[in-house]
Amino acid sequence: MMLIVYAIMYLSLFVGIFFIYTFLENKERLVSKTSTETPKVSILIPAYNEEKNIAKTLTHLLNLDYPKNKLEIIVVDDGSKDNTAEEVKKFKSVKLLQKENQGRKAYTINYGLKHCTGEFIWMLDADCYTRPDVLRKLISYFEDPKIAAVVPAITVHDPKTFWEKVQVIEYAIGSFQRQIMYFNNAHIYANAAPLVRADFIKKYGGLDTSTIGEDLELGLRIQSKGYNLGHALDAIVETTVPGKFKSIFRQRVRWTYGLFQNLKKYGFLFGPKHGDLGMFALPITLIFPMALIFLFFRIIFETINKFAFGAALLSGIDYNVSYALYTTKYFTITYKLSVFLAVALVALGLLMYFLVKKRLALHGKFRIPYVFYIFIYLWILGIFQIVGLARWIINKPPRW
Amino acid sequence: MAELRKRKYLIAFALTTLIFLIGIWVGNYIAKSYAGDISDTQDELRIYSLGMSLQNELLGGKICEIDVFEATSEKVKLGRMLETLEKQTNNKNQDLLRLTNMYSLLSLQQYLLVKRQREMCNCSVNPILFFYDNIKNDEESKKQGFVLDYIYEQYPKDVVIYSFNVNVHNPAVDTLIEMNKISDAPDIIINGVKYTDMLNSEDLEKILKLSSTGNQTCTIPEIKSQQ
Repeated sequence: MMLIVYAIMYLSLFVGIFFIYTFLENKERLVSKTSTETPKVSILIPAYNEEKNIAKTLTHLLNLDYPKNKLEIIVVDDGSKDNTAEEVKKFKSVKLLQKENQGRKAYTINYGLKHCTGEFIWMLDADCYTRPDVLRKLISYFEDPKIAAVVPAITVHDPKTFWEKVQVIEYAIGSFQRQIMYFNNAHIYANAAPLVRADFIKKYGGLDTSTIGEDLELGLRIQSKGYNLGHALDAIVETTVPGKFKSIFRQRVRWTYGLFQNLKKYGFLFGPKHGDLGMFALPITLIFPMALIFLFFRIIFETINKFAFGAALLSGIDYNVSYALYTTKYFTITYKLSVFLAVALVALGLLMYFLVKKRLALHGKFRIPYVFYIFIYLWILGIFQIVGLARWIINKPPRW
Repeated sequence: MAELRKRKYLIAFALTTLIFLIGIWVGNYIAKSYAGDISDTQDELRIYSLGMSLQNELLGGKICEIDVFEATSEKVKLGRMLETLEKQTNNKNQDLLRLTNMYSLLSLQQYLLVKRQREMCNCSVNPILFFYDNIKNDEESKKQGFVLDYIYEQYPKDVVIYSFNVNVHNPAVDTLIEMNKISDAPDIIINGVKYTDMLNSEDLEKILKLSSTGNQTCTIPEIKSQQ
């Protein structure tokens, strides 16, 4: 059993070192160009009950450093039961479309795509707040004809609750990892705010309505058609995140479900024929959730064993707890290879976080959330993975 | 065919392997250095034990005058150091086995002297032989050892415990194991009677007829079980 643990730790170290090495090797590519070209961009925003966020989103978009006559902003109200439509109507330059709710963002996006006239289509969530320089930076990536879409770095908007601050760490490390994948032409997550060539959509269709993870599906589809998905670490879009554990749980279970759905659909991308994507990015995308689940169960098993052993010891001495506490004075810290490796992994994670922290302009103190993220939150993610995987196996899609 | 950047993977593989090897080396270095400390302590104890045997010869067998237990604080310390070394390495580590071997011989030497003192000097102290197996029955051995430690802590004047690892072989300890017909450790021998089932504190108190007032009539050592 320890061999499997060591194998997982070895693989984790390997991936961490690979990521950091790639990051440092491509430092000059971290700075996005600012495009002087200003092709027409359709900004497509699906909105369902977004009265609290939509005005702010639209205000940020109208502040983009981009010619207004080259922007087409379309909001698709997906049968909202609140005042989303009324809020949108306050913005005269924004086009409002309304449709019946069909339960999935993919349907809403696809409905809106028919009305887009831009050369590029920016699919933006209704709670995404753009910085003025984002669009020009994203456009610059399309100088490479192999790029079919590019995503900005997503950070957490105005984190207040503890759970939001923990997700700041999660999103920062996620941005780091996606940047590395892009450097290796193996980026697959077209999440939250992908800017896509209209030609690609025309040729290969909009979002897949059969899968929950439509953003991942888009990224995998882009790769399967021989294109690349870009990632711009310094083009920052802020988004709101779930502030409570229950909401995070639901979201992460959905993501895991979508992950396994899409890995199965695009299983043909595994293998040496698809280079870094097939031999590295996809395998670790599959292995890591499984490894996390294994380690999670192992920790639970070991903890139960330790408690059971402790109870057996106590029962042997007539439950003399004060003696048991007394014996702790003989406790000595001993060296374990697994602890050494765990420390190395934590150090790598810390390094990853600090490499992106400045580039993502993360302000505020995140020390305690970081410690929580490393020692507790990652294991909680294991629970999400287990539930998501279980739901996928029994074919029971999670609720929103 | 898409590109696979082999050079980067090789570099990452080499660095990862290096970190692993450093981790293993650090562990080995710490264990070796700790084993060295134990060895030094053991040498001191060995010298003292030799001195006691010679003292016995010089006194012409007047065993009741020998203070066997002055070395026991060093022996107790040694037992704990061996426990720590076992946690740092593994059960089959050669340094650990060698040091445990020597510890067993020193324990046996003390046990024989205590046994003779009990018989000849009307001493009521109860020597307990504890045979443990840290490979086949590690968990059961640890549980029994914990109870024995507890009994010693509660009745330090009435009980002495001598621990023997059945996986450590030398003629003297093997003979002791054979004499007591130990086949499936952990086993306890109290006053010539073998107990194969797990004994909790209550069982031991009954067997040893222990009471909080104590009934010791001679000086007894502060010897703890290793497990």
